[in-house]
Amino acid sequence: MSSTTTVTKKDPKVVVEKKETEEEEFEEFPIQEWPERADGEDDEVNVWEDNWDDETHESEFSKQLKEELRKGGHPIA
Amino acid sequence: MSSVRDISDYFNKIDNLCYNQSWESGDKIAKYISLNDDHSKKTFLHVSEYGSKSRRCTVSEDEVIDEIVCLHLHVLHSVHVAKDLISSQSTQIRIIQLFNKEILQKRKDENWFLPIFYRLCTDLRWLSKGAESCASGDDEGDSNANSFFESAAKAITECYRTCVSDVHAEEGKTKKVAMLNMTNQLFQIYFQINKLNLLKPLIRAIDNCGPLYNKFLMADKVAYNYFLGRKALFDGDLILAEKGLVYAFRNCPTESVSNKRKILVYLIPVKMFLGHMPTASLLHRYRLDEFQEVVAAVKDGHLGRVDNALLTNGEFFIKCGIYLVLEKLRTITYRNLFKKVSRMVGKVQIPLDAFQTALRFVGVTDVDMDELECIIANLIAEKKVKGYLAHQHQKLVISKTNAFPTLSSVSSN
Repeated sequence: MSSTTTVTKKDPKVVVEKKETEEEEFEEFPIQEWPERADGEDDEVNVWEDNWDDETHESEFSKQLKEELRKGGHPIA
Repeated sequence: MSSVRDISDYFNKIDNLCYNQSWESGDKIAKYISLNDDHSKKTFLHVSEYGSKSRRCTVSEDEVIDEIVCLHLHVLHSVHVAKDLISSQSTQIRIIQLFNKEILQKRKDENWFLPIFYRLCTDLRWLSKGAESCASGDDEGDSNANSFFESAAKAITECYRTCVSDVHAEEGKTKKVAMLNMTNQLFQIYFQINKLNLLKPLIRAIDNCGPLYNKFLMADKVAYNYFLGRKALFDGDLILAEKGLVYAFRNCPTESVSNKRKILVYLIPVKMFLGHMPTASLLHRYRLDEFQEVVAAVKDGHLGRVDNALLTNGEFFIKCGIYLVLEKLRTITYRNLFKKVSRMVGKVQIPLDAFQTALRFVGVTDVDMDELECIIANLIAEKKVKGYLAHQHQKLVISKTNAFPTLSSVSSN
């Protein structure tokens, strides 16, 4: 019984470890040469958000924070 | 490429390729001495000491390649039959030393064989990693820790020297084009053994290589920029990190999803420090949902949620080697929270107690007034807050205009 448990325990672990080492390294590219893209020629655009800091709309968190400050005796503008 | 029928077919195929002496034939030979190619699983090629057999097949066109191929079969035998990664690693080093002495150093005005050499180095790294884990499993003592990576790095560095000194070759035939690939090989080894400082002269050499840079392969350029960006992030040089990682991300082919994902793991923290937050769809598309909660919490200025998110996904972040980097996001989280509080209070003089109230609200209970002043003083020193502390009055006095400049304008370090 105990030996069966060891075997079943061991096997998946080996597989996982192998997968991790594969995952860790930068993989080789199947081809070696392709045209270089210049600045702004990204195929993925709008993946970085810059206006999150603007606070144009008030989040739920901000509402709660405001309430908390008010309760703490800090007048809200 | 057609599959290998038997050992004489294998030698014939390589022999024929050796006549051409072109980069393309070098590429094909590289596959025949690779540990990953289909041929490596054929049992008739798992032969130890093949070179010393009295009757055997040969690569008659090229004696050195012949010797290398025999040693390669010996390595295949060590890996697949003897299951001895330690001896296969040392044989692979012998192959590389032979390649350096008989090919790189002796054959002038030729570089068609470099693809073969790249493959030998990549396989040496793989074998070193295997040997390392075998040895560390065998004995407890770590006096020899990293010795396999060290010996691999030494062998590759010797070849690097040969290649960079090849300055008199004809146009297009210089071995100096191997510089970038070899730098990448060493980058990967030094990442493993934490000796990134040894890369300094190699990076400088690439910086100063002039028009040669245009001759490097895109595959090597993308990998190099990825390694360079990672190193810069750990050195705290965000601008250089962004430059390298953005280049790598932009130029990594769309099909190489797993590499794009690896680039993003480092690019995301860099972008966040610079005030550019990844969109939820980007994170989801690249299976990086572990970042979602961190990003949301940092944007809100919710320190408690940041800490929780780091803890919950700690294993993933540690595996990626970015846990300590992400902890530094607490600084911009403080900035974001204090910005919100300042807006809400709506005055230029803000009682420190308001910040204290906000901190308690987001689950930070262990920061007293002195520490709070210290946190704010640091934000002011980093130019993330424009203002000064009125210690006597226990207030932060902020600038009337742009008291919390955008992170992209101030986060250069």
